[in-house]
Amino acid sequence: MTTEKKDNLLIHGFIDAANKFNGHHALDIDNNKTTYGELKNHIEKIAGCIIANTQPSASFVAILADRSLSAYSGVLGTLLAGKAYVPLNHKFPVERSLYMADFSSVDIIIVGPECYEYFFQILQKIKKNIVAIFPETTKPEHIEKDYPQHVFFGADELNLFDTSKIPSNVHPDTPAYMLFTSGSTGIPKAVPVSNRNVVSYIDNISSLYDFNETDRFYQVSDLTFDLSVQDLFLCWKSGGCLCAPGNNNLVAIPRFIKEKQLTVWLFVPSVAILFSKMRLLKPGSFPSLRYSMFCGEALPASTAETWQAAASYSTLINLYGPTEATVAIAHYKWNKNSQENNSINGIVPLGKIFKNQKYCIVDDDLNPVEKGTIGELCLSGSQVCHGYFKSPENNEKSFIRIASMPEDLWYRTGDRVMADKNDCLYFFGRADSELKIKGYRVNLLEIDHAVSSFFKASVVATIAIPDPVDATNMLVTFICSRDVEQKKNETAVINHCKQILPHYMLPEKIFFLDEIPLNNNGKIDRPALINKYKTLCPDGN
Amino acid sequence: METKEKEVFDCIIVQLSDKLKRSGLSANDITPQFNLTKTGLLDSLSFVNLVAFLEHKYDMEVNYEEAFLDPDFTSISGLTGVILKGIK
Repeated sequence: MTTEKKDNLLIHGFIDAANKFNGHHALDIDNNKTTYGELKNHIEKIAGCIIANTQPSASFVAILADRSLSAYSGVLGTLLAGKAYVPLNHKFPVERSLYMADFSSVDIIIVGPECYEYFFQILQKIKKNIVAIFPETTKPEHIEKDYPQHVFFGADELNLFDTSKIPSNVHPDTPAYMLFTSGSTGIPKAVPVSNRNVVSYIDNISSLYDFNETDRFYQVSDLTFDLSVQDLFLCWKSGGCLCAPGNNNLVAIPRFIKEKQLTVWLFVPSVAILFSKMRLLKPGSFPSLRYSMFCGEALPASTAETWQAAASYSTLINLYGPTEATVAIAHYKWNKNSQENNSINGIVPLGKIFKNQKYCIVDDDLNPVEKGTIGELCLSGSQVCHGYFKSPENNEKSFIRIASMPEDLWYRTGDRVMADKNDCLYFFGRADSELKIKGYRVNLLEIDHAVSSFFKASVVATIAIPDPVDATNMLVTFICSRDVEQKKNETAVINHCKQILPHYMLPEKIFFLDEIPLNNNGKIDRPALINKYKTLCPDGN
Repeated sequence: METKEKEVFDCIIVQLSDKLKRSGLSANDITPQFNLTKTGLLDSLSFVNLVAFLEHKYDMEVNYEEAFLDPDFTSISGLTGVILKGIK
């Protein structure tokens, strides 16, 4: 242990649980179970290997793994080594992962067997020399011969290393992880979340509800999505078992909940809507669930009601928060009666801000508004990060001072909300070009940017068409082009975008227009484009 | 292929025409073994929407829990089989 006050680092939650519940299962991955004791031994070797192969000043270690022992032990080993993890995603374009690795200056990548194929694509393109750790297999054959500039360690070689100590220079303000979100300039923004931020969050959520060592937590969110942070660290702080399905097919989830007798569920509302369409949310379907939590998108009251009937013994909680404020910063405990009283526009309230966190709702001039007035939500407190990594221009826009409260730094969420007299918050949409697609934050300008980079001079505008039934958004891109040859290029545009954008950011539909409508200020008239879409596709398809 | 089977198969292809075009595929490239989700052509929600369309058209209901026990359900032939079984 370090000289730091206990529990100040994210890893301490796991270490304390491992000391207390040594023989309990910490992981159940596709029926392969690992105890806290075994996992702790394993991560001590990984941490030792990281410490022996990086400079003490290096901050980040990349994790390229997906719901495997490598993913979870890689995350924990990184934290035990006093570093922050940067998750990469094998479902993203290789170029994006290379950008993320390069931007965070990682020297070490921890790779799970499920991502080996993708890793070889990275190896072919990465410019700097790296160290790769394979925590659960021997090294892939011939890898050292084929890539002599890099260093590789298989699971069998990790016995050379060992540490149970966190380096003494690790401060609570040191990042614990860094995630990338969509940026308006076409470049993703990097959010470094400190140990203090995430420990505050885990402490807040665990003090509000009673999670314990008998709980079985569901884990399917990608590590690049911050719901996974709660899955992992709330579970391990509670001494519970993290359960990850081997089959990543969403439709296999309901059966998984029943088979594994899961007790804690956290996911995006759109998945509940999907299950509802599949008639899988029959009343009483999930009797084992104690907590059902939704986060990442607006939660329709109808979805909450259907889910509550299916998971009838569970407490249903709507969580709200941007990545910059660490997973969630407000909560609303839903029940049928409160729904009748409180939902606005059929959307469950965001609820109240956690303790020790502050909110302020401001108008366009950044002056606080009165309760009952809609404005932009700003956040401050121990959960809120202090700025994007290496991005002063974005920080200037998003992290601000409010004149009447000059002592605090405020993060502008871009979410339009209203507070009632009891400080309960209600969601009224976005203030800018960002929105949520399947729980992921998407900046429409980033899509425009990707499409423009194919056409060079063309004007491009992407809009989101909300589906009233699904409460989902469909991305539709308009391209200004009079060139008949260009108009045949839809497939080429999509293929180009696939090289740059993650799958959830690809436009569903592309239209070529002779002219893109502009408003009086000369800006793209997005409401006019929504009407244009309605005339082009009157049946919504 | 039997007549009914061919009809369902063709109906699926028509429904997918936009997505196929977008992926640079034509109807001729699609065999009955073509897997709709594993190839990335459809995500889970679009797949379920396609099933909902077929359920409505053929006036039947798919038992998803049963259907997904067969890994082949998301292929065109697997889906066609489940629909045909429901009609009979």
